[in-house]
Amino acid sequence: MTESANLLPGTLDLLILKAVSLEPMHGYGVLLRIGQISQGALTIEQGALYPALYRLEHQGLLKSEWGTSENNRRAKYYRLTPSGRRRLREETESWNRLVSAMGSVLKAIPEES
Amino acid sequence: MFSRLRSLWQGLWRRSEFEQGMDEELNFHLEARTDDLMRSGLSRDEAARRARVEFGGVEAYQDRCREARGLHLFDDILNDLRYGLRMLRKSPGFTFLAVMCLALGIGVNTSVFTLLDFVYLRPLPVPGAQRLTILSRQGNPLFPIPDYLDYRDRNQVFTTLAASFPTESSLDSNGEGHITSAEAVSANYAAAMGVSCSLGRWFTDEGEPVAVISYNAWQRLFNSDPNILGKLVRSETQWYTVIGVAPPEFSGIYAPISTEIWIPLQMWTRQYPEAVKRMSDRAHPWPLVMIVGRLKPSLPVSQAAAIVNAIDGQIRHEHPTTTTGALAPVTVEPIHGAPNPNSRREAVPFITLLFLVVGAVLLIACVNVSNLLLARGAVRQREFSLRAALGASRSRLLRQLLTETLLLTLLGMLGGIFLGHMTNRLLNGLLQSLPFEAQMVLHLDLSLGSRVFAFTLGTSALCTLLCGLIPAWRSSRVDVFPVLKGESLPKERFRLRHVSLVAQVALSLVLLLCAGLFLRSIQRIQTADPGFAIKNRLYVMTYISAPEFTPVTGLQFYDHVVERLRNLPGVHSASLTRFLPLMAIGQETDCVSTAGFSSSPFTLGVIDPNFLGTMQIPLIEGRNFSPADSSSSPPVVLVNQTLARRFWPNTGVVGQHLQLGCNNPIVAEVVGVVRDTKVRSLGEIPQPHFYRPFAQRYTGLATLIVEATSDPAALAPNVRSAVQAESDGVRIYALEALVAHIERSYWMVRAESSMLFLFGILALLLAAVGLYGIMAFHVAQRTHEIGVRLALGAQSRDVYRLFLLEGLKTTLLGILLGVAISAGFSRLLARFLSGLSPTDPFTYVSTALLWVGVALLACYGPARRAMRVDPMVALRHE
Repeated sequence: MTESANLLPGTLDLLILKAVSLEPMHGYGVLLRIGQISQGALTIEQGALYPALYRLEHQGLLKSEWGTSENNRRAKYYRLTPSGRRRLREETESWNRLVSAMGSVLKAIPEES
Repeated sequence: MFSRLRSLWQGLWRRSEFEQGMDEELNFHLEARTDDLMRSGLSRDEAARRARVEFGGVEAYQDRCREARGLHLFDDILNDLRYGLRMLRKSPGFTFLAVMCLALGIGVNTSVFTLLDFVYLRPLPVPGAQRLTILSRQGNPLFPIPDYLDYRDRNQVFTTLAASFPTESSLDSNGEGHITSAEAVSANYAAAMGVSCSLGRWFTDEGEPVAVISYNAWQRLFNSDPNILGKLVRSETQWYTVIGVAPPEFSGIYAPISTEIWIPLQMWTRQYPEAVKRMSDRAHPWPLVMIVGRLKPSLPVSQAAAIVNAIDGQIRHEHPTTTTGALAPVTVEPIHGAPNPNSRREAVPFITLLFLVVGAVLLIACVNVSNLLLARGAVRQREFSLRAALGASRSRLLRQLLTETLLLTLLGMLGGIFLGHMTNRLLNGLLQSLPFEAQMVLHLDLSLGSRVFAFTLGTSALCTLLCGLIPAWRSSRVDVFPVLKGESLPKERFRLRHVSLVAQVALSLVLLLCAGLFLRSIQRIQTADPGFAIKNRLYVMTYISAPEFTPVTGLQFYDHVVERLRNLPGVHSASLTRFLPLMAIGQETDCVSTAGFSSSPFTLGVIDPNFLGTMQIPLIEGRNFSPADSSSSPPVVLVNQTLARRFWPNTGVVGQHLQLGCNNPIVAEVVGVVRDTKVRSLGEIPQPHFYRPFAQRYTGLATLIVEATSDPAALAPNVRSAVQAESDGVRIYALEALVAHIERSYWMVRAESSMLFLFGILALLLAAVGLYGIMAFHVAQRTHEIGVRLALGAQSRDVYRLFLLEGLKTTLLGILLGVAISAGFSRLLARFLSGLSPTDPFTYVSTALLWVGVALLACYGPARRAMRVDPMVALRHE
């Protein structure tokens, strides 16, 4: 098992949006996809996924409809709405800015004292 | 934003679908996970177990899902409502009392608001009523006809501008005469009002003898005759063909008096030489008309006013002689409620008073409920502490308590709407049964409309806050530990409740005082001496006119009728006057002046030589009128003592000369002085009044007065036939006992005072219940203390006195405050009291004593209970 990291607060939404942006998928699929992309580096508390999905849908960033899963069961599929797509872009940009800023801070070499 | 509302909406309205979907979704997750785990080699059971563990608490996450959708707030409210209903059901006594208090308070307010709605807010029941406007100048809605014609022809802002002359008119049907209110209207009246007919059509020509009657007149006077169209009715001297019946909801523009017949303005004026002569006379115009205009669409009223005033300026410029001094600008205002600005203005004091009164009743009711809630809150401390201990926040408790109050006010509101509806029906019935003047119909449509419901809803919301906020704030502040440990509750501070009790007593005292003052003034009126005899007398209101009679034959007719009546068996004397004194619609007046003294118009009685004798009005000085004072002899006049004192305080009166008439005065000789009588109202202080001979001021109208030797009622049929035997051209409008007329003269005061009396008693009852409740609760809370006192040797009498005195102290404080408040209102009250001082000491003292009595009664029960406390039981109580 690879080492896994706890999620920073507020990043779950971004992960969900990213996962759903690739293709419409159900909740369990989101979980698998995140695990798969991060190669198991990020673990999500499984139950916590759903309140987050409901919240995003409530905010109009996701849209859901019932469909049939790969093993022929009824499942609820989530899809990104245009405003969800916009949000994902904004969040991604600001995350990148944060990461590069954090990175440059952490990379700084102490000056000779 | 929109998506959030939609998702909340779906969550709320498709709640079961939402829950089902959520279950299914989470199940799918668990099953998929189980499958995956089984694929990695676990047994089915073990996989399912692992899937659940990994997922975490399903219930908790479901809750968070609901919360994410904003549903939890509604769930809480629903729970609060359910819990609240359960609590209310558990204490039916409390619920009943509180709901009754609120229903009474809200009900009377709803009822009074309906009245306000009718007088000030409701649009006329015609299509496009919001575009109807009425013209007035300084609150006076009457304009000369030439001005009306100029406004009508020169303006570009009204699609139609109509004129209406409101008047009283005789209306004859099936050989019976009635006095009704009529409107003589321009031909475009119906077009301006946008009113059509239930039957037939409106007239569009002013010069034809046709008329439209009201739905009410059709039902009342013509028994809803389906063949009414084409029938002839007579109004004053003219016969008209009925060509239409107005719709039932339309009662003209003279509310609260409903118009019974509409006739063409020109036809009406042709009956009166005076009207024909002065109609186009800008200097002395008569008749004056009300002007109603229908604004062109999308034109602001202010613009219409500007145009009308511009035209008005032109008119003044073209006819400079017509006016003395500058005229105030013309006001154009949309019609809301009663169109006539005078009616609206006259209703202001009474409606203000009513609103103050019912507002006070509502306040008392709210304070009552608030007290009840406070007391209940103290009893429920344990329950709240428990909930707080289980994790309910203060805001959660607060919300719970306010929800319970909301339930109470909602129930109260339903009760209030019902009560208001009943009160309105009662009021409507009362008004219809009270003949306002002879046979005129008062029209008050007191139906509940959307504005009334909105008002009631607003009032109820206000009530919830008024009654609920303080108790909820106080009760939700719980101290968990002592209560849970079973210790006695911290002693409740009573300051707040005392303040509200004092306020309650004060308010109800004010209302009682109002009611008391009105009752006193009624009593004064009833026992007042009108200055003339009333008992055993009948009066007959009659009218004769052209073409059957000329002034000469008319006078002869009345001479013969009086003679005939005098000779009837059982008749002591008979006489006539034009109008009875104390008519509710007012009295005839005329200007009176001497060489050195002029005055505003005084009231005038037109009488025959027998009048003073029949009415037993003593002649103080000089001589009575005699048959020799005829239309051809020099004018003579009798004056009352007050007028004599006003004009000739120091010199002899008989033989002096007076100038009579406002426009073309004539000189008349004063032949005698008679004693003062009441003329306008029974409550008035004597006013200057004078009499002129019937023969010298004849019109076709006369009121015959018959003095019977015994019961006048038995005489009525003979009197009627005697009058009709003289000529069948005579119309009889009223025939009844003089006593009935006198009683009717103060029906308005009586109606007002009975209404106020009702409210006063209501307020007293509410406040007494409040006092009782608080005292009872007070005793219950202090049982322990009483027990200690008794155990330490206090006599039970002392305890009894302690509580009685406490109640009395509060009451006295309230009474003092109430008296102070009433003194502040005395100016408003003085308007209604017809002469009684608004600080009448008798009323004040008796009202205060009544309250003390009621307070003693209210405190008696609880104080008795305090006296009977068994110290052993009380001490073991904790």
